[in-house]
Amino acid sequence: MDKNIDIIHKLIDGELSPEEEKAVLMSIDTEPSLKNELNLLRKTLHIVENCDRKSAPASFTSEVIRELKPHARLKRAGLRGFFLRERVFRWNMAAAMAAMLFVVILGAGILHIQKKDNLSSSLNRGTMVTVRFNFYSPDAKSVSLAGDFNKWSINEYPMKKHTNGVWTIEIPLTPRTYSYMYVIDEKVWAADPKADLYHDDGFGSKNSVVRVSTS
Amino acid sequence: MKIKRIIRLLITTTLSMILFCGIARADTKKHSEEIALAVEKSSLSQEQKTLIINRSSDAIKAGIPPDDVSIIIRRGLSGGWDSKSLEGLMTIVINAKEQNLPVSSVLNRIEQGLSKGAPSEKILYAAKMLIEKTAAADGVINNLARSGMKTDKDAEKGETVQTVARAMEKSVTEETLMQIGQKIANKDHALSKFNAAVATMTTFIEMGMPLEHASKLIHKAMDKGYTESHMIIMEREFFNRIKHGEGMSHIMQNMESMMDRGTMGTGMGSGMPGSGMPGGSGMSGGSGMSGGGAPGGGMGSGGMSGGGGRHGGR
Repeated sequence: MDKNIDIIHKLIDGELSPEEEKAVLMSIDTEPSLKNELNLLRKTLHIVENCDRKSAPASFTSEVIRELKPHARLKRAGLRGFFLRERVFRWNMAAAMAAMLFVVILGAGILHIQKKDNLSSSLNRGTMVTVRFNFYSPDAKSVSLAGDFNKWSINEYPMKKHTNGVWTIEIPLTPRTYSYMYVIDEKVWAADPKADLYHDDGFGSKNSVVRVSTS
Repeated sequence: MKIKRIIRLLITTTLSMILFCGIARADTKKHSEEIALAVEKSSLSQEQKTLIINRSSDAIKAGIPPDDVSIIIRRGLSGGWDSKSLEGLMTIVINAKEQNLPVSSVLNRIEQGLSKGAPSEKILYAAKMLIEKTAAADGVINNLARSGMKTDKDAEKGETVQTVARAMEKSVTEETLMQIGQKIANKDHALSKFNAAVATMTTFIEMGMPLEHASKLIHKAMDKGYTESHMIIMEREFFNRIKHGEGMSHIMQNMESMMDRGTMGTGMGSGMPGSGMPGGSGMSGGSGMSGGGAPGGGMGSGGMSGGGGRHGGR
């Protein structure tokens, strides 16, 4: 019987030669049970062929793999297996972009905090206050502002000369106390005669002190 | 499902860290390149160049901000420093960082000295001394923490350590500092108040007031519950009297009696925070008079512009 069924399957699949096919069909005609089996298979085939074809979802493979029992050896491997087991990572463009955005915002946030910490260890930080510095030096060729707000750079804050001999600059500062001096012609360091206070600079001179607050 | 979520979280965190490290590395790389370029351009021997680059790298690895390392090396080289002095400077800072001390004031002192063209030996000595004082100051703050002072905010603690170090540079003793600290610790435990008190006392001393008297005034201020703003008013009162040529003993007498009468801030050129009158036309380009209101006083030869903040123009 099994052999006959095999032959019927081959017949349906078109795997028999024309002679074999002819002989088989003649034999089936004489055997009603085989004839029924052939008809049943043909009907089934017809139904299947006329069904709507639907494509498998993209996650089909990964879902099948997930449902499969892990290989016994890896299961036994415990932690090692957990880390070494192959996984399928499903993603789409929206999720990838959201993850990217999150990472960028996080990175920018951390950087911003770090920058702020470097800028000022002040307890009172946040609002920036624009502070105007004025220095009278009519004969100077150049005057710049140097202080702990610019790591005492003599080039970063060049001041602007006005016709009355007053040099000015406005810079944004976070509220706290700063030490500073004016640098005349890139050589001479001068304290501000109108400073709030003066602090020793540790090298035998006095720095001017400005207290910046938001109040 | 839980494992899946954990894996996703791990992946996200790792990616974030990789990105952050990447950005930080880019910043470090930029400064390292600046250092390498400056060293390469210098007239040092190849061996000395390697030594400086290696020491700079050690400093960055120890946690010194790369921009500070770059500034120090570049200014040192352009100021004609030899490799031994530069290496010594780096070693001092690295050691301080390894002791977990706040190094920003030391870096500030070094950068300032280099910019002002101070001799190398003077800068080295100043840095070394300041670190010694910073270590002692750190001990004072730790002792105060054991006495109940709140020192849980790292930035506040770091700032106070540096203020105390500045006081110790002016020969203020640990005992004097502990007494002031204890008084505050017993009252409201505020480290910021201790910071302000020590800063004001140091300013008084720097401007010529004898240590004992400065300490006495600060103790009195603490007893009267003076705030950080009151400290600033005291400093301004003192400074204005100095500017007007008053003798030190007269100033001290007057300040004490003002504190007793509760009139501090109403004297010569003083003002309560925020109450100072702008002089002249006040805002940008004005020519206001000096003196007047401690913070918020908008004095000086110009004024604040933009932003709604304040400080009197300098």
